[in-house]
Amino acid sequence: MIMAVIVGWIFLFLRNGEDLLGYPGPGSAEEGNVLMQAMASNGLIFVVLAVSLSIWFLLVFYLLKLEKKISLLEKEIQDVKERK
Amino acid sequence: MTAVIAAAFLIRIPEIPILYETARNLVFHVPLWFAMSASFLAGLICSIRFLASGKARMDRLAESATVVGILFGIAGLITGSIWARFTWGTWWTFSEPKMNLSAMALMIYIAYTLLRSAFDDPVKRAKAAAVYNVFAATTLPFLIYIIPRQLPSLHPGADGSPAFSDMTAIELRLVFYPAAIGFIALAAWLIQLRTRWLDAQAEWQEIQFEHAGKSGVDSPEYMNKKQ
Repeated sequence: MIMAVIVGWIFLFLRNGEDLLGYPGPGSAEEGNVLMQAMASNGLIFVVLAVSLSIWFLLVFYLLKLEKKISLLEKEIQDVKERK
Repeated sequence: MTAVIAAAFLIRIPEIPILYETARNLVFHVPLWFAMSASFLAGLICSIRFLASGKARMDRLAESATVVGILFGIAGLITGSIWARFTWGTWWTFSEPKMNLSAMALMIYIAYTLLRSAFDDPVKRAKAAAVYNVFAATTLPFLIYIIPRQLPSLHPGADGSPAFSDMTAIELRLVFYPAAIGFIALAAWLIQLRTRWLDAQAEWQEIQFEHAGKSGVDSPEYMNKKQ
């Protein structure tokens, strides 16, 4: 559920980010805001960085979520063992 | 994977018009779809094996493979959208068949997870999900590969735009193939990790039911008996 909300928010931001921030939306990367201009600099190398970071953030988020579920399960099992 | 990431950033590539340095994204973006397809294929095999054998573990494996496949698919869509913004000038375009059909394929698989949550009976849930997974897997090659290849598009791999061409640096293939293997291995590890959690959860439910003096309704033994 949380994941769906975050993914939905990311898509909403990607689609309407400039509008949400009060920008009309750039026609091209070069015409955009400071962030867009920075991303478009140095032969677009920061786009590669953004792409790779987005993958790792998503995977780390998923792993943390899974880790939380496993921890809860371990705690429940531990509680039963202690009761016995 | 560390070597792949380092090589992706450090390898020398020729200057390519429009793409420039973003040609390096080939190493990250495309293997995500390979990993997604491999996960969905694993999900299909496990679903068929579940229908044939009735083993609950096969259902759990199929579920994990499908969820991990969806995760890689979402990552593929996000990375593709970022890449498109700086090369095509838009985050999303409805005139690009590969982009839209990939999103449609993901929607079909997201429906798989929704279908699972609609059933209370674990046996019915597993059977319906397995049958649906077979259907979903048959649509995947058409939506991801066959139809986009028939339609003209800017996206490499479409009609009139080969996957490997001047648009994609040949040097990157040296990093691309290890990256594809690495991402598929990463998906396999995530599937295994998630299945272990589901196994532990099933075992835990069985212990709970035994403790309460009942038979384990969601247990593998119960599911196997009901087949």
